[in-house]
Amino acid sequence: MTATATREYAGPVSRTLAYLIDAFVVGVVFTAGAAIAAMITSVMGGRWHALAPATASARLVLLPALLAAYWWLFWTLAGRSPGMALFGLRVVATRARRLTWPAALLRALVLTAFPIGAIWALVDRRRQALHDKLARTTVVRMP
Amino acid sequence: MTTTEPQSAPAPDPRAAALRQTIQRWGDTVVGAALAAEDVTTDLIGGLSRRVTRQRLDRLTVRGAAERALWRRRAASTAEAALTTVATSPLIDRVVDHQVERILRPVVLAVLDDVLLLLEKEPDRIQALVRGQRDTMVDELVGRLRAGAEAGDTAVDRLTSRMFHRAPHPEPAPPLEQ
Repeated sequence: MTATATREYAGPVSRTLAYLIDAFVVGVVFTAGAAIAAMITSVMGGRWHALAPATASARLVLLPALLAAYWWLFWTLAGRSPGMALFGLRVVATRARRLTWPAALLRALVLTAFPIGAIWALVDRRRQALHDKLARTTVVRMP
Repeated sequence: MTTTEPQSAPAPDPRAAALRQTIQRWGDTVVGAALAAEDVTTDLIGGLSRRVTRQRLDRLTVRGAAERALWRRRAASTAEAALTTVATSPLIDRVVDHQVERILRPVVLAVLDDVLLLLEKEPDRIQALVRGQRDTMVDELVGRLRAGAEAGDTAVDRLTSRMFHRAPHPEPAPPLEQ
């Protein structure tokens, strides 16, 4: 694809809405998976109440991991997640020709573990959040 | 034989001539003033008469318009009442039902059969139509979402610039895409 000079950086509102949509999608998928697991467990004769503490602990680990995997997969393959596609956003590398999978993984992990670092985008000239700075990426508006 | 000497004409008195001229001038002035007074009076009376006539005409116009509107309302209500009476009469109901049963229902059934047959033979036409309509609606919804988010971005950017006393500067160009 050829370079276009008229693109502009995505603002915090678009990025936050895209983030919330992605989190909602992952939450729905996770809840559906948990419901199916509970159904299978009950059919097999297990007691769901006994497994509840374990699933609560697993939720704290599995849900962020699922979210990070979701972002990593979509950013590596398409350069955008479904929520970003809805708002016409795209992740691009600042010092490379294309977004590599390690950069996408780093970005996904940092955003999942430390989402409050996204506030830095409010004061940054290139609208880069903390995960953008670390992964050397930025988000542009590109329908 | 006596001869009479021709009488010489008396010389005109210049004072009398001047007096006559003055009197004639004053007479002309009086006649002119009288004529001017007549003109002014005529204009005054004509204007007054026109004003009175115009006011009377205006009153007549307003009254005529009000009467016309009143009659129009009465005629409309009368026509509506007559139509309602005719349309809700049992006789008209029977006539309409009979015509519907006799003409319209067979036509609708025949057309419906044709349409269903066409859909069965060529479903692509309707599918393309429905698909195009759906795509248009989705595009419009997405466009509205993006425009709203972009407006929010602009507002937040303006707010943060004001809060952190940043001078509004042009953003650097985005990086190149592969």
